[in-house]
Amino acid sequence: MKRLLRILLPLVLCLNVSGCGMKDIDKRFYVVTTGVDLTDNPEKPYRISLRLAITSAQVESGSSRTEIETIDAPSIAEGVRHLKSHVDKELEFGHCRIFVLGKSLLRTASPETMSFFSRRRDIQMISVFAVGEPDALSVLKVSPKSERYPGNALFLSFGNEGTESPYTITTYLFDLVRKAYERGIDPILPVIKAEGRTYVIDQAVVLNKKGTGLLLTPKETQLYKMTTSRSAKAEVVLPLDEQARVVLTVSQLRTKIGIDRGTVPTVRMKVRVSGILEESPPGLLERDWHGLERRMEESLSGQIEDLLIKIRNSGTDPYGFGLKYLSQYFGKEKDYKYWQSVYPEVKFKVESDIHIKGPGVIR
Amino acid sequence: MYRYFYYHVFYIGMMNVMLFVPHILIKHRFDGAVSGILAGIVIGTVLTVGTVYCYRQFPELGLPEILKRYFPDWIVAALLYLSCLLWLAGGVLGSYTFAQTMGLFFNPDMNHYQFLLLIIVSSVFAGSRSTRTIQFANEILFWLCMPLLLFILFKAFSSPYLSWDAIRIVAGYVAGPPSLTLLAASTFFYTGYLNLTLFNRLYPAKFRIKRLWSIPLLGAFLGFVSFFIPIGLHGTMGVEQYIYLWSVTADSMSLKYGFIQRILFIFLIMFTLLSLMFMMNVFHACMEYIKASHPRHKPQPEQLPVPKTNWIVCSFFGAACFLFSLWANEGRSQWATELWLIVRFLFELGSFVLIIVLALLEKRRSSPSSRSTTSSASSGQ
Repeated sequence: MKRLLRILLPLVLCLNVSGCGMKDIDKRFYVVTTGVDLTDNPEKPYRISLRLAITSAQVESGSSRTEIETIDAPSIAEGVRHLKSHVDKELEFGHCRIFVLGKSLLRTASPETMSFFSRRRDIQMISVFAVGEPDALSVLKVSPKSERYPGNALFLSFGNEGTESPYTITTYLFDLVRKAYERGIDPILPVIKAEGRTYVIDQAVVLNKKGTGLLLTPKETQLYKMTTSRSAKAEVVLPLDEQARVVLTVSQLRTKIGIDRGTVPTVRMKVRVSGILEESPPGLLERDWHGLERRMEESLSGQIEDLLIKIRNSGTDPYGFGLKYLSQYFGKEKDYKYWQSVYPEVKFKVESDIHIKGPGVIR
Repeated sequence: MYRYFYYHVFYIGMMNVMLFVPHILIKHRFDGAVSGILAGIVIGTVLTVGTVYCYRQFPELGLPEILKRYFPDWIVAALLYLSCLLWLAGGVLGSYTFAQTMGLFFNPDMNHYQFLLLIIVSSVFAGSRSTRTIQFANEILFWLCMPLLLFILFKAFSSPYLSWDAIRIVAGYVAGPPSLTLLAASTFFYTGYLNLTLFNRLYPAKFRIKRLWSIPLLGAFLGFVSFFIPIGLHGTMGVEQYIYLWSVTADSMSLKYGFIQRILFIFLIMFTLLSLMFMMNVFHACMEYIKASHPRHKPQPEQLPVPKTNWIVCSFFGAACFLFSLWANEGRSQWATELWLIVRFLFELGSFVLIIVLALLEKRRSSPSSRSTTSSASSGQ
């Protein structure tokens, strides 16, 4: 009797460990991309679109098949719940790593309406958020030929898993949420444009706390990415007079930001770049190595300063200068108020230090 | 052999995450949490080192046996029931939060009583073993947890998204005086030393716990990590909105080349082990207290086979966990945990004073020369 009990008890407990909650993977629909747009209908302001993976055993380029479901709803959660009646399998967000927000949504949405994403436990805090242009649905409708399994093209575009584009900014959910609440820093989101059968992700939009934001051009996006991350895959360009251009591919990069106190604070940014020339008129480097470096430095500093002033004038702060200011001087509430009042007049001083290692393989 | 002492300090220090300690600290991050952690280092170290020195007077004796030397049986029984109740409450709260967290992140469709059942059955089984077995089980579980913990810490510190600016800003709010709740929360990192009340039975006369200087370091490390890393990853303002703060923090780190992408799952596995460790020790300690409250009880740290009483007593504890989860919801369990932390802190202070008095008495009793000075001092009054 006792031995029987000893065997039976663990077996009974094993009933608790029943795997996928009694629902196997062939009875689940994996959402790979979620898009949220704003509609004109005030009763049902959100248009939720889900890109669902049609699972198959084949893994080869072009074999990915997906299905898109769309619904208008008064809130995101209600929309997702309602969408369940449109499909035959249970929706599973555990693999949804890309969330596309429509451009229209940014103008009105507050962080509170977005709480759906951070509230749900199966949405990863490390999923990527982006802005869809012209809207989220058209981004979802793109099906790249190179996709090996559903949704994988967008997964690879972000981070540095696949392509390491200097134009692509990656914003994770936890990063977006913290910047939406944080004092002295504003969120920045990449913009995905749908172009034919592929995505173009070379722009970014900086949001302020109210939602409206500043769209950066591809060049500015690259500068922003260069100066905020240590991502080395960037370039520095110096246009010359005679139609030629000198292009330096960056192999090492480091940015330091410090803020000087004063009646008007000055932001000092030091950018140290070293790399190899990738394109240049022949012999240019040999003639005047240091001169070329200095000219490139000047041009880069100018570009960065223009970007910083543009960002400052728009009233946003994606670099987190405010946060930096507070942290550097252990600032409290009062200091933040002061910073906010002087931010529109903040001065920038950009110093760049370019070190050309060589002209590449040829002279 | 002193390493067994540190295993206890370690797992209780880690359990803070399951008992809302980071949540409480972060709620007050701008008014006293940092100074609370700093004060906690001092208080925790004094309590730990003091208690360790006091127990040196009582080789191979647990708290029940020490109390029996000085107090009548009914006071001993009352004190033991009290401390049993206190620790059982900790175990009950831990089990509830564990079941909730698992239910939320592993499978929300599953009834959370099932998770509770799983951990309760395993803790009843583990807790009812002999003291020596528990001691060894601690070591095994510790070494299972350690690589996971180190990995998570490595990922946290190497994350490019960890904002040191946010950490510095919060560290700047060091001036505010800590409240009682904050002191209670921040001394929890050191509570592991209380295992001596029971496991001192296993330590022979010549035994010394070495490297006591590591106590403030370990406690401060655990305290700063569980307070500052969530702030670094969620910002100074955004951090307060999360209830299961550390689960979300672990989820904010990614594993690019692993089998799984979310560090959350590694974190949950580690906390399954730690919760089991905590529950096992709590159940075992409470069971031993109850058994020792009987006047003629003789402690048997290596008893084999396990007597039926162990099973019965532990099953009652398991039932208590179930009863609590019937009443509790997230808000209530947070409130209860906060209250428990404060009561625990006051109880610790009380028991510290008690053990100092008892240790001094023991010292005088054992050395005859000092006994004469005592009598002369008392006659002089």
